[in-house]
Amino acid sequence: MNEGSTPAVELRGVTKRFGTQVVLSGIDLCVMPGETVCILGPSGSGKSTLLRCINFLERPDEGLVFLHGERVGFHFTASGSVPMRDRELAMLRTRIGMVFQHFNLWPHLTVLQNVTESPVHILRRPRSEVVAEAERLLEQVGLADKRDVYPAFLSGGQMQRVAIARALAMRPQVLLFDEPTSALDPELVGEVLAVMRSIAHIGLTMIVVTHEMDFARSAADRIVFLDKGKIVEVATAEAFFERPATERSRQFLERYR
Amino acid sequence: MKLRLDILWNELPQFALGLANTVWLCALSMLLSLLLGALLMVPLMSRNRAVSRTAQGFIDVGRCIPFLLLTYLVYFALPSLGVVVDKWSAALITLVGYNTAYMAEILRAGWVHLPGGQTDAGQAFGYTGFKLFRRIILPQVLIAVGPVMGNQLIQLIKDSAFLSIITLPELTFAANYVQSYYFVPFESFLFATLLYWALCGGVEWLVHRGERYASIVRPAP
Repeated sequence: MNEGSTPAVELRGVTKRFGTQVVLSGIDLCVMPGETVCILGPSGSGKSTLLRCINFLERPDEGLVFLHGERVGFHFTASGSVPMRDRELAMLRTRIGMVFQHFNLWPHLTVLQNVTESPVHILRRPRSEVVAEAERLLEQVGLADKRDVYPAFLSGGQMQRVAIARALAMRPQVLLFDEPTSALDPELVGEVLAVMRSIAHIGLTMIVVTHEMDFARSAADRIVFLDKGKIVEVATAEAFFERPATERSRQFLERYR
Repeated sequence: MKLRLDILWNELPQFALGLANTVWLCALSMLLSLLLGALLMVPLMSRNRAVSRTAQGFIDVGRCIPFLLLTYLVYFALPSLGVVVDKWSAALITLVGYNTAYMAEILRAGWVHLPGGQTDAGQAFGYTGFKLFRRIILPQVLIAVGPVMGNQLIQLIKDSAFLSIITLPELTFAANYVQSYYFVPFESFLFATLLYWALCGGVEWLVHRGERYASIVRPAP
């Protein structure tokens, strides 16, 4: 962890409401480059919304989001902050990889095309170079032999590994995981977590919303515990699981023991 | 009654020309209305209510005018406004205008049922606006609505028979010409019916082939 440098992701006072319901309330959070942070919390605590506020798939109603010191969604100008144009926001999003609970692979494209689509058509990198990298990534996630298969023919675990390769192919500065194993059969969870562990080891900044306590304990540098839209506790993984500081965290962990 | 197949045989070129005109006119109209329908889908799905309502209004008008009446309007009524169109242009304008409304509606239905996560994934990977539509949304919508679009093409082929009323030399016109010249309505119209049936059968076959591909690439429900 690189203590002195600019945070990879920083949230300041992020608040999000859906109608009258406050889903996130004044979230402050810094994630340093190379850090793996797991966001834990009961269902409906705002974990996924928090993640989606980072790449502005959900626009926060209040507060600021920064990616490596750069404001997400707005420009600072002399006359105040101005919303980014769609295209600018889209380009900024390419620096934030995302892996979804339901994979969201593009079903009309093969596995290889899923991985190469955005680097070629959005980042405009040379196709041959992207294909070579995609093949290497597919090998890394153990799916080299599936390159020409359509997603409908893959298991959930395979789909999620393709989704991780797809996200990595964008060479993101930060990788967001939104409950990546929640939609998987229990016997398929391990293969996805193994791939995620291997990424954490190469030092990519990762923010992971998960219910996998063993993964959080072993792979996370820090745990953020969220409840009812507020951060209740931020601690190192070891401290959070061994000596939870709040009563609410203790109750939560009891259910998983 | 003795069937006068010899007349049909002799007038085969007439039928062939009519069939050819029906085929290319319908194919071109289908392509153009698909293109325009896809473009119309964008304002139709707009979050701006005024924009989406205007598009919806256009579609509702298109879907509520009888095809024959639209043909009359374009070919006979427009000249009184000073806009004179020849019968080929009138045919194309009518077919395309009429079917664009249906195409937009069909595509919209396909888009509405697209899982929201697909758009999320597109946006998260840097897609926006027309590129998001063209590369992520439209291919999936087309796959989803393929069979419905096949039905619409069959409808379009059948509607094109009305164009004989403006003396466009398509298949029904050819059949009518042959029957009135030789007075063989049974042979002539039955033969035209068989040709329409074969044409629509061909469309069905294409849709079926498309479905085999679609079943591979369609997302799990």
